[in-house]
Amino acid sequence: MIAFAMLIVRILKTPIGWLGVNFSQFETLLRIKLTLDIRSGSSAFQASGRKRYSFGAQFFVFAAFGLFIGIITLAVADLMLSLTLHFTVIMVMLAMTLITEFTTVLFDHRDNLILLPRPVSHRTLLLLRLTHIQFYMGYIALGLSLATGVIVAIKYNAIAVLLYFIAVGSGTWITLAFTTFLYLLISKIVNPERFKDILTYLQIIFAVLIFAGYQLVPRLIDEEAIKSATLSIHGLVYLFPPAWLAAFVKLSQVSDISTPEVILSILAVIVPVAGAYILIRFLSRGFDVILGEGSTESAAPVNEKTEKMRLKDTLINFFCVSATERAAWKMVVSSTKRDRKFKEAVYPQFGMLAVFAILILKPDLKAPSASIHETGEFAKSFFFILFGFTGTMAVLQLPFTDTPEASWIYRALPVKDHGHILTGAVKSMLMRFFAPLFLTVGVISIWFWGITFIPQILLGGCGIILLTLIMIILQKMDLPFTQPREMQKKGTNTITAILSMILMGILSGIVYASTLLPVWISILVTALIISLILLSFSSLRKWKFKKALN
Amino acid sequence: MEKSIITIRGLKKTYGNGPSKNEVLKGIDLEITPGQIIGYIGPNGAGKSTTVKILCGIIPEFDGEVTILGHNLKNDTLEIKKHIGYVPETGALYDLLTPNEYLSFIGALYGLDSKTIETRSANLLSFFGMSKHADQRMDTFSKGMKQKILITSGIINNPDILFMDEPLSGLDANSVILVKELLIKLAKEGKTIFYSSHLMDVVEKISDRIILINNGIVVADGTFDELKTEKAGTLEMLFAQLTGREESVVNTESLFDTLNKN
Repeated sequence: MIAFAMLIVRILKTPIGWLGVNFSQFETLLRIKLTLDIRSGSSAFQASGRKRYSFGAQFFVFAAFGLFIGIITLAVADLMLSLTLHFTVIMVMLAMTLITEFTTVLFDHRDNLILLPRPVSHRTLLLLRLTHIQFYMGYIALGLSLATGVIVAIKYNAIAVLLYFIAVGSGTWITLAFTTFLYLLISKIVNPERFKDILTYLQIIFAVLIFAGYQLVPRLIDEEAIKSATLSIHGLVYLFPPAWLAAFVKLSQVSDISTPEVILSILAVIVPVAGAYILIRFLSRGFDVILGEGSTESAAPVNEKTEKMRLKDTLINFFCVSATERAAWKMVVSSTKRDRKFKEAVYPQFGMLAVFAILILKPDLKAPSASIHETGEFAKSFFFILFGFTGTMAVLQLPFTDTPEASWIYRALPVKDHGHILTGAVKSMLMRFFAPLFLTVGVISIWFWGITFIPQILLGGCGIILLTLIMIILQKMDLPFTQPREMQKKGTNTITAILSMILMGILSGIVYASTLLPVWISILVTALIISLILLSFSSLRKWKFKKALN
Repeated sequence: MEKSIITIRGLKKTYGNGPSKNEVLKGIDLEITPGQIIGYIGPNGAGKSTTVKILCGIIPEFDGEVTILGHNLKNDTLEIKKHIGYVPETGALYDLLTPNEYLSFIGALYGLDSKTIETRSANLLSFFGMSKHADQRMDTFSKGMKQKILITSGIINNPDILFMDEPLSGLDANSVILVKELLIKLAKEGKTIFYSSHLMDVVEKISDRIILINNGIVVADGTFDELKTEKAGTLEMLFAQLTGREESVVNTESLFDTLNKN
């Protein structure tokens, strides 16, 4: 892989030199970066700390999705329109992947003390990061485009295939350069601390958009109408990169190409080159400032004891049974509030709920209120149980951290029952995420479906807490912040999701069944579940954590 | 008077803004001449590391004027970086590489040819007794071994100025003696050593000039003989006097009261 990468880089030696980059340093740095990727058994994919699938498995997923989008988009008769749609899908996916997965790689400041004191220019550093990411993005793009490449070969000719893959590479670079351009622009407007926050929230928003896109867009497209449509080239189309790339591929159909399409295809070549030149030569100055700020100690906000905090203390005292539980609660809340990676893992799920709500309730947009009132009993139960369950997902992130070495404190503490630390942490997460969310959804549900729904809401709420505790027990959850994030091994998320869906289905069934029975049975079952919750917490408090404590 | 190799005028650095604003450096003025070992000391949070990181070009945003080797730090950062070395406190190195690979990498960034890198690496590793580990991956190394590689990588380019931020962290007694001898030798060769540390005895013994900063400003600057007083005969005592340690000695009594009562 390294040899192949270095070969491509050497082919581009002259244009790289035009960018004001020191080629020798660039080559050395890239070789080292790729060597480190291989030796760590990971890649830039893992640097974000989220994707943990093998290279081959990732490629297979991308290729399968690529086949799907290839079949859909190339079913459109008009070549320009079909390829414009195709490149739009690919570029949007790449942009979202870049924002959600690779932003941390772009602004990674872990090696600041190694690289920044050396005579390496900001241009070389920026191109290094972009090239490093481009290799992985190119890999994703190749996966996504492989099947379409075959379809293009069958439908058109060999030149079309060649142009298609060049266009894919160009599209990947345009996406990367444009996103980085926006980042650098934002970094010039806001201060470094605000910039880090904006990046986190952008990542969260785009993670939600990816999900929404996958779920909603296929349902909104009128396939029959689009199959026979054509793309008319007017002013705005000249500003649309996927149309440039489509026109570039259409160059293979010499007899059928128009002058506007030739202009678009020229843009497909000129813009990536000009973009690279502007980005590296003129905007890279801001890049070393962003990296440099990563080497500084941020000023911590001053905490003052407020009325709100006193209320929190009252809550903590009410729900916790020991001083250890109270201490764990406070420690976990303080840590998770400031941990950007925790936010990135947890917050998108709340955004995804809005999408799920639409999918479950399927409101008629012409008369939403009436259609929601007519929602089936099972869908009602599933709706609020799903929301409540999402509120408990933060609990499952508790053991993971970037600094597991700090967990020595658990071994040094004169604490006999370490289980209290886990239960305090779990309670804090339930109070911070589950309680407000479930309360909101409960109020909305009562508003939609009346107060007769209250017993079901209580039953569902208690059921969710019990199921969360069952999942903790089944997963043999470790103490908070003791495991490296990389430990969230491949497939874990999928298994958790499947298990969650099964448990949610069972619980929704129980809640639905309770609507068919007298109210006192709901109340009785709720009381039984509360007893089981208390028993589960009691059992967790007695847990021994051999893995974390040895 | 000898020409300055480092000139610092009104150096300021602020982190954050609004209520969380933290002014770490409040206006540092210094003139440093070549061939000296500068002991740069101060209490935790005084701004030592920030100063060093600014001078090495790691933190590019600051207020004030800094000239190193006749070049303006803001405009000619790359030219300055070619002639300086930096040794950080922590094991900031790619520890999946071997020492030989890492030193080749660092040397290549300075544009050294492979023969020069090979010769210098071999000599430096031998000096620190690391030759037998030259081809082992550094992720298995102890903190002290990694520190030796950091020092080696800091001087592989034969810098005119060497910035060191707690360079003796994790080193055993023999290695400390080696490093002290190395620094004195480098200074005799005309190199300037900017040595930031908490280890007062080492600073006192090897420094030609001691600069003490507290709360982002220089509170003492001179040779140890110039700075010591009747009341403060050692650098440690001087440090305590100038950085408010006396105040904290009084507080120790109340601290013990608190510990004993609760």
